[in-house]
Order: sequence, then C-alpha cells, then structure tokens
Amino acid sequence: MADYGLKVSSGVNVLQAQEKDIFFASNRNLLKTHRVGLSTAAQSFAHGLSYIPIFFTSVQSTDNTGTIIGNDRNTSCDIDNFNIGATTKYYLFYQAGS
Amino acid sequence: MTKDYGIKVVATGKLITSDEPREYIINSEFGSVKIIQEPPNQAYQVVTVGDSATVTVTIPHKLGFIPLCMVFTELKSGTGRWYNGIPLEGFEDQTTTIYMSDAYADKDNLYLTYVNTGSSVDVKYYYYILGDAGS
Repeated sequence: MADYGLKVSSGVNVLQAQEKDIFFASNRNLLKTHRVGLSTAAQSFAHGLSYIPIFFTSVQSTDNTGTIIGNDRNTSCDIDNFNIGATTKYYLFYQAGS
Repeated sequence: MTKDYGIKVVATGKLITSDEPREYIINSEFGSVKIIQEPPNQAYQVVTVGDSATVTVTIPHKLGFIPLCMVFTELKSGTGRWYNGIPLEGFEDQTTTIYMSDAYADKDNLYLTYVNTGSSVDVKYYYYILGDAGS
C-alpha cells in the first residue's frame, strides 16, 4: 500500500484527522468538471464522453429560486447526449454515473 | 495557449501524462465542485414536525447567488434510511405519514419543507451547499 501522497486538513493534525476533516487526499478521487452551463431552452447536446457521466442540475424559476440537486424531472443523459430542460444550470463531470 | 502550470495527481498505476480525465485524482485543468457549507459540526440536524403540521426549515447561506444544494433526509427516525433529494409521500412506506413537499434555494437561504399528516415526528436532515452558482 502506498504510504506517500498529499493530504490537507484544517484545524486538526492531518496525520490524526478523521476522514470527514480531510479537505483533500490524493488517494480519494474528486469530481472533475467536464462542462458547466445555463440552458435557457430545452435542448440536447452531445457531451462527447463515451459513458454516462455524473451530472448535477438545478432548475431555475422566475421567482429567483433553484431546485436542489436530484429534483429535476426534465433532464436525462445517455451515452451520447445530455437532454436538458429550459432554464437549468448544469454540471457534467468526467466520472461515470453508471 | 496551452496551460503549462497547475496541479495534477494521477491515480495509482496511471501516467501523469495521461489524456484521460478519469485517471486523475485531481487536475486543476478541470476544476471541481466545492462544498461551502454543511450543518454545524458536520452533524445531522433534527426538526420536529408536529401533529398534522407543515414545517419549513430555513438555512441561511449568505452566498448572494442561488447555489447548487444537495439534501439528505431520514424521514423515519432510527431506520437508517436516508433519501437524497425530495422524498415524496409514500417514499418510506405506505404507512409513514411524513414526507418532504419542497426543497429549493434562493440567493439567501436553502428551504426544506416537511409535511406530517400523522402524529409528531422527528426528521433528520443533512445538506451540502456548493460554492457554485446555480444561475
């Protein structure tokens, strides 16, 4: 097992920190952003990945509110395309979601 | 111009010259989402939803923009079953009278609304507010 790498914690000794107190550890994968945008109309576009990526969306309303992640019934993704509803902020990540 | 500076950490067994983003633990070329706020002391919160009551929890975030938010809820205390998003009526089981009816954020707060059609219930919840604008 590798005994080298990079760890960052705050307020506690990084060698004694619990997992939840470590901000970054080089043996823990991070979500890496592939594409970010605000869709102002329903649309589909090719995401350019050969797998179904993890994605986050927030549907924006005219009353200046946004839904939480996981509460978007209009957006879906397949191996080729990202299909998104109107006025939706989206994040696509390089990690596979399936 | 191609960036020739930044931070890259590659997964064990992969090459630091890799063109495949999934082979990196971190790569500053791609960025990542950042968690700005969690519950105090990173401890789940509890809200009591009284007999036949509707309760809205308001969580200030002071970001000044609509952030992306992730919410987890344990509807039935002690079950250990946590739902991501909005657990609607019937999510837990057909006899459970507690559910979430709405969850959204604006530029000031995150709002979670729980509805109880039965006797008083303690609901546990946890949230992540991301430091990325949702608009």
